[in-house]
Amino acid sequence: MSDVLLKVSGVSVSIPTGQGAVHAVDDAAFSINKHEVFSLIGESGSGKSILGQAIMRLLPPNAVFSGKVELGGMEISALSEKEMQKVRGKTVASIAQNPYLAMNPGIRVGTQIAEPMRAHLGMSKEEAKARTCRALKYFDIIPPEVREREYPFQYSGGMLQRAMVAMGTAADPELIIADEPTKGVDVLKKRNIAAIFQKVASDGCAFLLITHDVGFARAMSDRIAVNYCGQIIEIAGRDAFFKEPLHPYSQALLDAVPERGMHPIPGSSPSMIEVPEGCRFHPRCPYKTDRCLTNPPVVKLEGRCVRCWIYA
Amino acid sequence: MLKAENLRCVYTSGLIKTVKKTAVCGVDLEICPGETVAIVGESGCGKSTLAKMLVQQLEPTSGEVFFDGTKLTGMNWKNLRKFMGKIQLIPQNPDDVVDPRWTVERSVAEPFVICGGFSREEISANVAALFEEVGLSAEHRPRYPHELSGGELQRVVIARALTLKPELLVCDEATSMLDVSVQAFIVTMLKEIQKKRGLGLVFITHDLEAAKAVSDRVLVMYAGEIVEEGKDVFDRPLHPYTRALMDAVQYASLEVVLPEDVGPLPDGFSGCSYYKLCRERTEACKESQKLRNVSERLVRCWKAK
Ligand SMILES: Nc1ncnc2c1ncn2[C@@H]1O[C@H](COP(=O)(O)OP(=O)(O)OP(=O)(O)O)[C@@H](O)[C@H]1O
Ligand SMILES: Nc1ncnc2c1ncn2[C@@H]1O[C@H](COP(=O)(O)OP(=O)(O)OP(=O)(O)O)[C@@H](O)[C@H]1O
Ligand code: SF4
Ligand code: SF4
Ligand SMILES: [Mg+2]
Ligand SMILES: [Mg+2]
Repeated sequence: MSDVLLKVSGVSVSIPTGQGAVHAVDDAAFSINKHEVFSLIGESGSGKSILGQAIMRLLPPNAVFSGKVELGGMEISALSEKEMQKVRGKTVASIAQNPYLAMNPGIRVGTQIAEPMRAHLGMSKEEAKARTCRALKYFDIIPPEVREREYPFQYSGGMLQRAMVAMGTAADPELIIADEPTKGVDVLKKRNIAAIFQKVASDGCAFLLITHDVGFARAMSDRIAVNYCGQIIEIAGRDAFFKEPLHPYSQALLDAVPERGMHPIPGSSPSMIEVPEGCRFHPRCPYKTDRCLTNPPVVKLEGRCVRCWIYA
Repeated sequence: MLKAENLRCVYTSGLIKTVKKTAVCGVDLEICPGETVAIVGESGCGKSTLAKMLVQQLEPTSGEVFFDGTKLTGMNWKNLRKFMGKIQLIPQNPDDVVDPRWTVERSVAEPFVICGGFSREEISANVAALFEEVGLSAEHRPRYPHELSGGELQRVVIARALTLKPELLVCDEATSMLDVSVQAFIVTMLKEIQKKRGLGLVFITHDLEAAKAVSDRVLVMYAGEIVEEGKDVFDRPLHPYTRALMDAVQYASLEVVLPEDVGPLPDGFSGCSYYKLCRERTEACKESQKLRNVSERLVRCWKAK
């Protein structure tokens, strides 16, 4: 299809540590179209942020990457670091999971938000400042003229988070990778974020939305992918997914939401170094049988796919 | 167990032209052993500031905090230290408590070392048990903070807060980076500790469903004040701000319906703090609003009944 913007094929990442290599991403494959909001939900520590970093080429220096990432037909995983720097911020923007690390504590917040506009859109200082103030106002960081001149430590947690969103959406990128954009943000302001994402998406931008906020993912996404222990175990259209999640992990995850009584999934998260053999969910799966000790295939069903023997 | 009276916090910033900003104004609060209190409210309304004042990390501009009848505010550091193990804060930003140059197991062991009286073996056994308690394993212990995922680091901070067996735990968005299953796991674990030894819990959160599921009592804050407090607040919200929060959860429409803009409020406006955004405001709301008792609730709105 021609309107595929991002294509990820066979991406794996492992990171060596003192105890052995962490298999953070295993054989990730998916694509995101223009205008599309693609959400990645799943277990904490299962490799979602690392996958986002792999696409942005911002992995830890010792990480081992393999696979292919294409953006608008260009293979960005093969670019030199210098070429990639141009892509970053202009074509792909990221909203990092930890705003305290992503923001420079010694630079005024306004200057940091304006930076991508100046660097990539060639705006003048005044133009960029005016646009920054508009963005701050939009995210209810008021009064913008004062807030623009403040430093990160003067912001509350949720304000800094919103400032990050303002920065990520500032320079009209084509793809935004947003890692937990709504954490620490109250429900009213979350709607502002939802609204601006939808506006940016309708202008043709695509989103990779990494989130634990199931309600937000449900409200925003066109498609949902679920990650468990380094693997994407299910991809489905939003409505189909919430109507009937197929993978036993997806089912268990949706059962753990507060509305349904906060029941944690029994058993503990698997090691990411010595991953379980066969299906990685088998030690906790209520439906496991002998075949689950061998790798389950990725089964394609109409418009969705799932990595589980039940559907093979 | 913990009692706070009329807590205020004013931040001053700027060297030449000082700017004053009131983050918390006049909060009274009481927490009993074994009780779970949820604090919800707008981002930037002063929840983290309040939390820091409760645990004595930040000196209030005015007001007092008592723990089991002992006044903590104004106490010197030496005496205060005895209480520090009993009251713990899990801060919103994990980087506030873990040293990036230390392995996470060293960060978790630190309170034992400061406290003294533990042998090396005891400490490492305790640390291992704590990691397990928050769902982390031996492979995470010798790593540095930047080598963990957001949610894993958040759990390290939870483990650290539990080291000295606190009697009161203040969790400031402590589960915001955890998936719903791990979040449920952590909450269940804390509730079990609560049952065992009467731990008092304060949950600061934006997740209203979670607040509803875990808490005995809810405090709703707006602009540094408590605007509503009581049980079953979300089933029967009385303050217009609480109602606006509840409506927003539905995502039914993304447009936020705002009332007509009243323009800037006059200097020294002492009326209702929600006046500007309230859809139900009238002339009478320009009077200052006190917390009133309305059918087993405290509400800061004259209209509530
Ligand atoms: N620099 C690193 N060195 C070694 N291991 C790492 C490093 N960074 C992350 N990891 C490990 O890689 C795995 C995936 O981490 P990642 O940050 O992608 O998780 P995540 O899915 O984003 O989780 P969360 O929802 O908690 O943020 C985790 O097990 C983590 O411990
Ligand atoms: N160190 C500081 N210096 C100046 N102002 C500050 C400082 N810390 C916080 N503030 C301001 O105080 C107000 C309350 O901040 P606080 O962090 O308590 O909010 P919060 O309710 O925790 O918000 P969030 O839900 O976004 O974390 C904000 O307006 C913030 O900008
Ligand atoms: S492959 Fe087997 S163990 Fe894995 S999720 Fe499916 S049924 Fe469960
Ligand atoms: S006092 Fe008036 S302005 Fe304030 S919340 Fe009540 S109705 Fe709204
Ligand atoms: Mg992450
Ligand atoms: Mg806060």
